[in-house]
Amino acid sequence: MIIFWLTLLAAFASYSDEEREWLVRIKNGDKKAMRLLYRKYKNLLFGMIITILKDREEAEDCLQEIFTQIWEKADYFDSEKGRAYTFIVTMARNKAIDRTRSKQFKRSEKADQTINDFTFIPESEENNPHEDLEFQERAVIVRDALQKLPKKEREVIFVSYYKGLSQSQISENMDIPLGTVKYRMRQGMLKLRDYIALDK
Amino acid sequence: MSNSKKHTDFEALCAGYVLDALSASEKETFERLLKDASPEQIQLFEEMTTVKDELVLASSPLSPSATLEDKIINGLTSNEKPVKDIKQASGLTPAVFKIAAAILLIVTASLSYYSYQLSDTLSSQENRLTELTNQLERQEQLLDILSAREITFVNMNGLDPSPDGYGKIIWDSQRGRAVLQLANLPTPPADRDYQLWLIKEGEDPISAGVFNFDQPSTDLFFQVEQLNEQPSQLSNTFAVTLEPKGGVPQPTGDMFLAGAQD
Repeated sequence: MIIFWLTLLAAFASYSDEEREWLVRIKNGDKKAMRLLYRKYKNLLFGMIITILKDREEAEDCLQEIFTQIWEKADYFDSEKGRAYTFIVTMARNKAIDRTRSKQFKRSEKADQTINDFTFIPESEENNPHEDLEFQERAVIVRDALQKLPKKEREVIFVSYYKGLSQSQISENMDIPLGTVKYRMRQGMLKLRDYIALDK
Repeated sequence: MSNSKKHTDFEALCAGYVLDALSASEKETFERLLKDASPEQIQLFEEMTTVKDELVLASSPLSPSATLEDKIINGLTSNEKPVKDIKQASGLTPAVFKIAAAILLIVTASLSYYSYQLSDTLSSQENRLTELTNQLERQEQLLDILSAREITFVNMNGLDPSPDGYGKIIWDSQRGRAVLQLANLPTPPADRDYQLWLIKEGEDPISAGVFNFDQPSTDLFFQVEQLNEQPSQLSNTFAVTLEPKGGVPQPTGDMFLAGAQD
């Protein structure tokens, strides 16, 4: 088990070095490095943002804000404490979730808090195979692992990640006991860890 | 607090923490546990964080407008950041800020302590509710499997390491699910799990998952989800062995239970 995770982290390290270098250059105001980072991550992040915001125009605004923030906050990235991938993806998700909490978004039609779509979308559109190659292999493993989860556990993890809801909010919105939410979230994440390890 | 309970609390909070789904008091509790975490717990935390980071890959990649790249790059300003002199900005001396910070710290510490007391009570009530909900879920799972058109029932008897132990498999092979009951088995060590095996006539053992518990009991039920196998026409034997944490591809440890389909 330990060997699996070490292997996974080693796989990240190879393209992580390149991204780490770009972030260092971005800290020093290198816009070329910013373009390289943008081209690598734009499809991945845009896909995630659209899943959260459900509106293309809103998602493009958000993507612009995210990369502006990466440009301004590149100083905060510490390669000793984490991967560039985690820094970027976490910042992007938080930005998109924050947007759903804005007053303007809540007034719009997209602020539908009904939780009835738990599917992780498997079909891709305008996929650039050269650009996304590094993420594709991992994506297949992650999607397969999610499909293996019991539906109830997958739902809880989906709404937590893609709607930014806390356990108590999930409990209220889905009308299930808080303890059940906690149990399903824990079980689901433990199983995902195991499934991803087995597939590797 | 016993180490076993601490580990259960850690595991219970870890998933919620990495998904940023905990309440403020639960986050504080987890961060305290993280400071004293064992190497296994830190590994669990890192593994769950990696899983969370991978969830972004579940959504479908999409291309934004081609013009957005230039719009973003051209909109970037210089990366120089001005340094602010707080004293100049506010007209107050550093000493005033230090006193204000000290007062704030005392007030915050008091509120945190009170909040911790409340959250402890709430936490134990939540734990009880979780326990009851989990029991109900397990019973529902058992009933669901029992309602299947055809089920296979296998009794397992205790072997030398635990002669008083016993177990049962209730197997719905049509839907690839089963329920495992374990009774009178010793609690596995922290670095071990019990692993269930299906052994068909003439074939290598097939793993059906790993199982763990904190306290020995006679009514430990587990849902078996990794049993997408059809029964052999010849013979089907189930066995439980004690293996390294997380399981192994083929059995290596002592066999605690075994039983064949009648």
